[in-house]
Amino acid sequence: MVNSKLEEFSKGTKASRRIAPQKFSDFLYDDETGEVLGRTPERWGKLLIYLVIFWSVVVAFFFICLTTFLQHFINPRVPRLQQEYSLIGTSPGLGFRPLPPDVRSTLIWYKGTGYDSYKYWEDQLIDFLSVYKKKGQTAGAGQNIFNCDFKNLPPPGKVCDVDIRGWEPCIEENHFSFHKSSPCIFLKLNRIYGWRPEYYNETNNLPQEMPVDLQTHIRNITGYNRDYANMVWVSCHGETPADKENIGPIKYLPYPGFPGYFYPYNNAEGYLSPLVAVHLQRPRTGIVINIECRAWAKNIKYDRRERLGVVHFELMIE
Amino acid sequence: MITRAASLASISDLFRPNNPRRLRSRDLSSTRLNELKKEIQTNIHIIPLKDVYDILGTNPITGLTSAKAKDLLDYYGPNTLTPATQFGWPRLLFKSLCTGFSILIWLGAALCLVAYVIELSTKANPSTDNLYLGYVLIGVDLICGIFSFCQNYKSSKIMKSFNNMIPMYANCIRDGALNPATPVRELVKGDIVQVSAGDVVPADMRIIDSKGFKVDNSSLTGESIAVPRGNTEGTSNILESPNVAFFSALCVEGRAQGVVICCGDLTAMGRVAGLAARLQPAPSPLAREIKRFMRCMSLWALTLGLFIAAASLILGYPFMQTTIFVIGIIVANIPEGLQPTVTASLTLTAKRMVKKNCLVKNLEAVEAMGACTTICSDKTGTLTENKMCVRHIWIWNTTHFVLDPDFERHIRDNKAFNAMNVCGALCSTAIVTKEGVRGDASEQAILMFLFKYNDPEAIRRRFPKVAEIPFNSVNKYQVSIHYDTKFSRFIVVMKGAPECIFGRCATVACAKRDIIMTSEIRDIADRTTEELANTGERILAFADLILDSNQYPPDFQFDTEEINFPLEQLRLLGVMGLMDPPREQVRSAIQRVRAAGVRVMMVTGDHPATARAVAVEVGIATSPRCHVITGTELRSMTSDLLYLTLEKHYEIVFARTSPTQKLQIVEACQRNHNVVAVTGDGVNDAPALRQADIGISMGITGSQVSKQTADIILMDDNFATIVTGIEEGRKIFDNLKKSICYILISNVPEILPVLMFILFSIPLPLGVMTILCVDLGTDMWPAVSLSYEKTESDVMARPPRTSERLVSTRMLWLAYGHLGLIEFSAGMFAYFIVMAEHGFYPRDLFGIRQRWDNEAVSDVQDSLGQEWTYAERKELERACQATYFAAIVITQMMNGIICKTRYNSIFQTGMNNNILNLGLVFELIIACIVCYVPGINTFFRTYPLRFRWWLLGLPFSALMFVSDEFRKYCIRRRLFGGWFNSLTNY
Repeated sequence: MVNSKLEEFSKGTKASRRIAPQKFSDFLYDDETGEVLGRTPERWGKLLIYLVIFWSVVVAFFFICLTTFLQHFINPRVPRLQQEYSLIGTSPGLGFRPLPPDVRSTLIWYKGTGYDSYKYWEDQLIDFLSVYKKKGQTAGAGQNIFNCDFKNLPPPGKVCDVDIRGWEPCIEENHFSFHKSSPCIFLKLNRIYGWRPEYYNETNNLPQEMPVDLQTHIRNITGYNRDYANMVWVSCHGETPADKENIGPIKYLPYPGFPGYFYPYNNAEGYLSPLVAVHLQRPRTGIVINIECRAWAKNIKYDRRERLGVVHFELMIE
Repeated sequence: MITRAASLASISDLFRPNNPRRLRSRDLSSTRLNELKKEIQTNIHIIPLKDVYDILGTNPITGLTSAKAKDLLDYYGPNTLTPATQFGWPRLLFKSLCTGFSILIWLGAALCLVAYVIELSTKANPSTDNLYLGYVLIGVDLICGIFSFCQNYKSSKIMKSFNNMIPMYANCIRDGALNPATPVRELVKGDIVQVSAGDVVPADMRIIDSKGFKVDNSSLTGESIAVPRGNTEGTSNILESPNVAFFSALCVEGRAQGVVICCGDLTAMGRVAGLAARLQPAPSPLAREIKRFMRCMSLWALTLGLFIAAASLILGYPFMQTTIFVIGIIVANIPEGLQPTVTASLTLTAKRMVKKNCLVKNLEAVEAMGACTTICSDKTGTLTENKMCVRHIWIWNTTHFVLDPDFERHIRDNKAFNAMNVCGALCSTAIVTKEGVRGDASEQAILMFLFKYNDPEAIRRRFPKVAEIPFNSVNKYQVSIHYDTKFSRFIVVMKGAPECIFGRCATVACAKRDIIMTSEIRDIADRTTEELANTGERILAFADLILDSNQYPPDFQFDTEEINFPLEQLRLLGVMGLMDPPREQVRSAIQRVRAAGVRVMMVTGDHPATARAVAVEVGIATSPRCHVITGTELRSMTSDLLYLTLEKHYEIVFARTSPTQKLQIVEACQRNHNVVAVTGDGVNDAPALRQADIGISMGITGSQVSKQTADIILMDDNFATIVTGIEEGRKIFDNLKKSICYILISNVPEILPVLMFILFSIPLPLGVMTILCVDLGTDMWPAVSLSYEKTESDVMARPPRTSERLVSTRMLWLAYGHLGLIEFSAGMFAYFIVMAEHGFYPRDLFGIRQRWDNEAVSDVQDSLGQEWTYAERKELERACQATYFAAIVITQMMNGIICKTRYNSIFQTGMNNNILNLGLVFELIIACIVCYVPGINTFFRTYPLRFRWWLLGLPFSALMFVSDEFRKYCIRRRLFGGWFNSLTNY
């Protein structure tokens, strides 16, 4: 009875509804219309051409804006924003070499006797120092080297030389003394365009927290020549009392600081950052030593927690 | 017979209090719901009363014994309505915390915390960035979750208002004694109950004995006409059976004694209540759309996240780095602001609709109105005023329409009309009080009509009543005899069904004189009344007879029992056609609704002829031959047949429908994803209102139950308000598209930096915190304020959206393929410029990330040989990210202007949406607060920018504006073969 009533409508009903997998395969490729992913290949082609045109316009606009700005406002040799106007600030940080291979690690770890073990560190240093070694050979660099002195500041465009060959024992030939379990760690002060250090060069006005041996050194060297005190001093020490004990005697090569005649940095061709090789002469082996090196100048801010004006690394020799 | 008894037993079993079948509570609830959806199957009203007593084990004189009553009470439970099992709030809260994007955000938060824990266990002093981000994500999730929880958590008050309809005490005979204070909840099947005028029937009962018993069944049938009930033969449909009185019906007149045949949830009313409370309406169209969009979006975000994770692990990035990539991708892909934007837009529209007398209880119903394809309207009280009115008058040979402007001219000085006036005023039991006319609906209508032409009270004073025979269903007329004080004679006036009156008439009153009633005249009269009856009017004929003062002197004693006066040879005065008139504006409203492509159907409990007539009058049916389906026909239809019938006939009127049938009709309409609105005012509409996508109730005449079930309440009972609702609903849909497009566009410059970060190893151009700033901060107000946009075209001139998506492929093309990319290039431009100003030229940034993000490296060289410590680099990165953020804000402001219109040019529409204008300013202010206020900027990893860095986005804003105006121009002109129309016209 019900069926006879339904018959009235049977013509109107559709044959069948497509089921989901069928729908999906039709979406991928439809036999009837030749559509691939809902568009015919021709329409896909048109779409592609259109998008290429539109995106080209956007990209072109982007590059026009970028180049215009760079050409008009950016000097390739001089930063647009400098020192206190820039985020780099006026307080340079310190850096050390060799850098450990692990990301985020500052541990220099090797076995005192095995060449394989310290080869990595040595290679790192060789690589780092290669600029200093081959400055004479490369064109451009080296030509404008000026033999600087505390009295002979370099004229504009000239750069001062850093002679790393005389820093016995921290030289390549001596494996930077790594094999003797008394490694040399190289320190450098970050370059900031136009930054001039304000030296601690008055012996009676040295900061309280400055290590005594550095203070003595400053007094000695000031006594020898006042100009020699125009340096950004560097001191390294163990972080904890135990570390202080374990670190042993330290020797700074060539001076315990960066000579003032290297500053300001003006992005001159061939400029070389001054270096200090810290020779840890008898560090205790088999234990991690936390070492902190600090740069001393009146305009270098110091904050151990914020890592301002210091560099931290650990040493572990087995 | 046996199976019926079995099914009866099974259904009463199902509703026993302590879960007889050991079903799980959810199964029990759904089984009960399915059982309730069926029509009542019983024969207890047809079988002889004696059998009823046998089945129920009771005695009509002494009633049940107390012991038996107690047993039955314990077994079947009290005579109350059991509320449906509701999910507790913890479950609801949990659900709202884990829907849509929430899961992904939880995932992101979990990844952050995992990353933090890993860092914590491997490093001495881990950075708290990940921890903070985790907290922020959890916070976002909680706030969004609680927000939607508050939206969803509306305690169901439906049952409560049903319970208010139940009386407290009943007169019940037990152990042979009448106990007038039996608590109603203790009534059981088989109890003998007495009901008198003013009482509420305490349970479904079969009448044993009655005197002038009339009940108002309006709560069940929706018709507020008092119907007589007595111990008579039952009809097959129990709802119309005249020997049954239903639970919660009000006894208007007389008194009755009956035997309880159903209690509590199994009563007709209990079923309606149970249905209304148990039905879970399907999610609204908007909710469906948003859910679909969220699912796609989440899937896309997750796929991309997994792809990136796999790729970066294969490329050799450490696990930590990979987690950061994935968090970035997830947060960037999710439009966190979507849910709040949609809710805020809907709330604002709802508030606006309240001003137009349209109270919105369920926010999503606002939009559903716009999507609505079918309106099932109840007749009484919705389309009509639920108040009888005289519509037509037939006085010899002419039918007058009372609303005709010439009507008064026609009837002036018409003797017949004047006589009918007198007859109408006298032959009536209605009383005129200060407040108005009280009495039967028809008599009220007649008196109200007569007031316009005469003072019925003056007439009544002139003709004091001497005797009367009240109306009864056997005679179908009522007679009263009055003394004419002016002429000192008696007059007999009679009112009743035409077929009874016509036969008793010998003459017919004409305009000037009386004429003899011939058979031709009788034929004409019969035809006229038939015509009027076919238009759904209730027809009353009037006749009078002036008695000879000699034969009936003033002291004559009339006897109404032994009739000693003539009731034949009367003078026919005329016929009145009464009907419940359609409300004003309904016709025009229905016209507008139909023009908007919405189908309007009538579903009523009323008589088919009346229903058809009203349908024609209000324009639901354009021809009187529209398809009318009665409840009896409906009962024999399968749901497929009903569905197909609905497909075949556009104009359908359902008459004599029961509450469950209304529900079936709604369900049939909802097949094929139609969005159905139901308007109704009675309790009987409650299940349909609940099941419908939009339940619309009447604020003034609507019953409490219907108001609580409905999503929208028309405060002025004006059907025309529905038109406003549809208009607002369509508008909000259009505007939500704009809002969502606006939100989606800013997604692109959020996703691509992470890809740049991975592919080109540049420092991260946009941080996760800043992404949240855009999504939940700066984008919010402009996105919401887009809902204040005026419509661009006449929304009421197009059919309801059926397959139109809220988020279409075209919108995605526009957002992701066009505008988003311009925003991205603006951001990258700003980023590169700030980097270059500080010394990192673009070419040197590529591949720098390894060293840049390495905390151990304290000297990263820039293009000018300067060396940057980790802290300095990160500071610069923050500045760059903030500039990128500023560029997004600047371009998004332009975007707000662009998204104002989808079709028209901004030069045509102008910037007259002040809320949006304010929003754009506000966006800038928020961005400034985020960048400049100390503390806030460290929290969000932003940086106090230089003024000029804010300007970096401007050229790209201009490009966006120009390109989009060009696009819209092409769309308007259909240039390039409608290329933009088919690609980006969302």
